[in-house]
Amino acid sequence: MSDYAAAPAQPIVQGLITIVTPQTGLPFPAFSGTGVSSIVRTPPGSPFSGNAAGDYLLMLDEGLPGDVALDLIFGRSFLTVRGSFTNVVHFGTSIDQKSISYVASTAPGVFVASPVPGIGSNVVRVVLTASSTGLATDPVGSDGNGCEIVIWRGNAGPDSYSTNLTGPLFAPVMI
Amino acid sequence: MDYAAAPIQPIVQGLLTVAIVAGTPVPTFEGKGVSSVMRTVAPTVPPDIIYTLILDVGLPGNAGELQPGPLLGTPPLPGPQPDARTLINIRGSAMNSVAGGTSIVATGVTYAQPTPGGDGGFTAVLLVFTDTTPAAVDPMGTVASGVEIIIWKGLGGGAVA
Repeated sequence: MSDYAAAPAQPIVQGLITIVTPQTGLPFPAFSGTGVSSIVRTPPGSPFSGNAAGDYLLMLDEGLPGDVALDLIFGRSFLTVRGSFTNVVHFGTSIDQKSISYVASTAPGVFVASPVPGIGSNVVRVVLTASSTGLATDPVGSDGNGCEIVIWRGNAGPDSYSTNLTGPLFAPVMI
Repeated sequence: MDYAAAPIQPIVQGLLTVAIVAGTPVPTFEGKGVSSVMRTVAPTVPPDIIYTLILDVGLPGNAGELQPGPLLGTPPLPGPQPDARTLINIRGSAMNSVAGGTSIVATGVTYAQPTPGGDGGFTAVLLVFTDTTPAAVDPMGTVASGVEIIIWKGLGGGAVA
């Protein structure tokens, strides 16, 4: 009989990204939950060429127990956009493309496009896009009502173990 | 560096499917944490198709309720539900134009109070599935073969910006 494994999922980040619209000034992103110490719009220019909207950098929280900073290959995540009553489809969302990237910060305000050896990925980039416009889009107004994010560290077990699975099904090549 | 981990404890996990019964799409939920599911069609343009999941009141510790968030602004209005985390995965259809694929490109999730309101908690979850039209669609037939749903309460933390 085959032997299948199950491992618990232990999120290091779980929360809600919303857009705050102040009475004066530009709308800015906010995060409510655990595992993130700050959130900013991804800045334009090097290294990320950030979009004007729908593009955020989440700084992972430092100083909490567990020491599960992300190695790139162990990142597991999902994003769920909350619906908006004012969307053309009531309670729907215009955001149909969601992506996540694992990047890093080496000093306050200094970002690099990939994890740093010895640090790992301490910053996560989230981009939300509406394919109808081809533009990164904030989940606010008629486009959405916030975005839930969960990140956990997969592959519980020794970090050095990896398996490269190639087809056909049930015929993995072990390396 | 030092980072935290916390476990996931789903209050809902199951499969939503839709079948034609007497000429009408009828939803079914198989799993835990949901006591009933409804499909509502509103005569808007395009028509709304809203799936409403009523959370189970019989779970220990009142786990089947999502407490309301804080009041924000002036005048104070309910803020976004802070704790709910929902994972939606669409099951593909062998009849889709891309065999095994789905026509659903976006899913909207909304936490709501059933009418009448009760104690103010969110005990209903609205799901709306949209194709590229954009129009609301049912996850059945050529569109999809159901929807996997996981909801849990991600308690803790606070606001940062």
